[in-house]
Amino acid sequence: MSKIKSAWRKFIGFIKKAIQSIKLFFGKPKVKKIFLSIWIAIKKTILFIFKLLKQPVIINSLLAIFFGLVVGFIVMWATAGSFDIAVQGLMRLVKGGSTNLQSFGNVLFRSAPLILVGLSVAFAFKTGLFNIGASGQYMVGGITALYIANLVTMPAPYHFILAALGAIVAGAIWGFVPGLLKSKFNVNEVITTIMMNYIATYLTVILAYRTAVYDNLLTAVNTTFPTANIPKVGLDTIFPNSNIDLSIIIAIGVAIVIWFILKKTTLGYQLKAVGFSPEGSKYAGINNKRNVIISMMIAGALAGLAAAMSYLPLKPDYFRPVTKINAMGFEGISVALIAFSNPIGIIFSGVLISYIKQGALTMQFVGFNKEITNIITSVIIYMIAISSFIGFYFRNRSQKRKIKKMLLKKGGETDVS
Amino acid sequence: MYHNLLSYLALVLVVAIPLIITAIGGMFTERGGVTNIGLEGLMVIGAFLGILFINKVPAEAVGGRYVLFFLGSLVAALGGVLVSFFHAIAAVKMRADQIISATAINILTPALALFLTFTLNLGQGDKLPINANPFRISEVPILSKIPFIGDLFFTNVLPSIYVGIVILIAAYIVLYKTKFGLRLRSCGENPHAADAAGINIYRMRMTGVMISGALAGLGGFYLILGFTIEFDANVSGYGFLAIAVLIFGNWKPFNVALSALLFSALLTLSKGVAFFPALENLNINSNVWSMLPYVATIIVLILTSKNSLAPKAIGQIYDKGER
Repeated sequence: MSKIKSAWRKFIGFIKKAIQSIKLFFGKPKVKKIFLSIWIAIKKTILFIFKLLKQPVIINSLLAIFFGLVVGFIVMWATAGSFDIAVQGLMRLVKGGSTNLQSFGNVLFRSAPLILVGLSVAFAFKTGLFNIGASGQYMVGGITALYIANLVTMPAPYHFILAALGAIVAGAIWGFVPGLLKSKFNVNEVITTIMMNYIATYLTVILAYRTAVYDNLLTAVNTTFPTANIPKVGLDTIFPNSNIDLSIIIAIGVAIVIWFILKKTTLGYQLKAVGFSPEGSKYAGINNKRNVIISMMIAGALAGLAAAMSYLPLKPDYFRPVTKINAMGFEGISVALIAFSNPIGIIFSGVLISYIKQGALTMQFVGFNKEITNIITSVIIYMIAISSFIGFYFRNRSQKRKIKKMLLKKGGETDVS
Repeated sequence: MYHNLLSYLALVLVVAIPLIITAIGGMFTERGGVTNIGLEGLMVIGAFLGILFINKVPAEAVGGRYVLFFLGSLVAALGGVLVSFFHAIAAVKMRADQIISATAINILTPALALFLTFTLNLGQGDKLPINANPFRISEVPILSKIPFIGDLFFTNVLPSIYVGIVILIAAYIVLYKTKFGLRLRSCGENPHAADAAGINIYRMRMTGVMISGALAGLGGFYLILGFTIEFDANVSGYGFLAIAVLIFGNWKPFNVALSALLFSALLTLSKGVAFFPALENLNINSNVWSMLPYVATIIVLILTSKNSLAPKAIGQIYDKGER
């Protein structure tokens, strides 16, 4: 017994000493200062996150994503006929992209072109233009990048840069045409960009079949061009075995640049003004027509760059000559809409779409088609389309309630008097 | 030469009829002042449901293959109405951006069709097989004896050709000769004046959108039935083309029909070249022929942009409280 008692005393003493020393340590003004500042920083970031989350736009996005997942789950439940399998499917969808660093690296890798196409659509949106033509600009940019990669010989980094620049220029030209038609002839850009998509599709099929670039075994454009590949810059050491490369950094960088242009430059201000009110901006002396063209050209350039990011990596998408419009442009619309066309938000929505797609690939093992991603994105987009109305409705209702309460209070007072 | 021309024109009609039907659907929504670039998606859902119906329901069960055909058409149209309802309620009642909610439809329906086909094992993999042959009318008794017209319209045709013509005439009558048509048009031109005249703008516009859903569903069904042997939730952009046809046709029924015929003549050129030795000898890549209608569309749009008769309030969200 006494042994235990003495041990206990020793233990208590130790604890007391430890507490005292900790108190002493924190009592020192220097340490106190450091910890206080860290604590304040944590507090500030948490508050900032809360503030950010409280913004209606972000709340709307998150709610829409939640609704999308709910509907996706219901569709799975209804088709599988079993709750358990549907839950399994949903878990795979939610977890699939982050099972390990490799798969998350691949998610980031795949998100780079999505972010850039999203930026393309969003940039046109800001000028009041709807760029359904991102697909065409993407295809034209892709074939240009591949031609430069295959036919030009150059040392390593410059070859890649040239190919990417070629894609940008080709995309910009493809965006220029609808822009010009819109500003000169007032032809609806929705129709012209769709037509440009088809022209791009058939044009690229013709170009891709050329023997100089076509690979018969691959049934696609040749993909071995070591000097034109996107450099990996050591990112694959962080995400081992994944395909991640410089493209994601380029995409994020471009997103920030676009944000800067739209937010901080005269050009961005003018473009937004044109989008907000064409008549008003004209009155303010802004050259409407020029801005429409510039906006479409930048949008096209971004889509072209996106194509370079998907066709130039070591493990690229294959450029197959098929007479079908590339789906990338439509995915770009989703990415842009989910982020409400905010360039910084697009970084996240691009990663989100890429993440869901990766998860959907693993879902096929439980017997679900990967198309569930598009069902979910369409619900998200629909919810976003009607979100402002729903928000408005709720705000209206809460205001009405407040007024009712006030009236009731007043009514009570008058009763007393 | 005669037979070549005939088979080319028959091919043109196969494409033209669905385009006419869909574009007329687009006319109803746009004349009411709501854009609907979701026609593509509505065509897909119509084609999916219609083909699923005629694949799964045996002809004997409903009393004959032509009854089955019309029931299939009905299902396709209803599917279009159902999906377009979502666009209607968002674009008209909830003041959503009309292009965004229509885009949602364009993304949703192909995905839904593929997902259901694959997960529920409705066809082979994610494709539905199509067999249109039982529905072909091999010969209409007396009419098929008329020299040219008999061969083109009354020999070995799908009944959809007659449905298309009926819809075209009905659309003209509804739009120009009825109270409903006048009201719908007024909603697209000046909704505030229409509202002041006691017309329920919301109801008119929603009806317009839903008519477009029905017709686009029907158009998609007929297109797929006449054009391919396998449906993979894809109507190859004909919904968008229908919008171009609509614009080129200046939002008027018979002009729309004419422009649809012109478009179809161009669209089928890549396949039709085989019928004309003179053109085939030019040895032009078939993809160049395929590109042609789209280039032509752009040129035509430039030429017609000056005297476009677009509904004035098109794409504008109607808000009662405005002004």
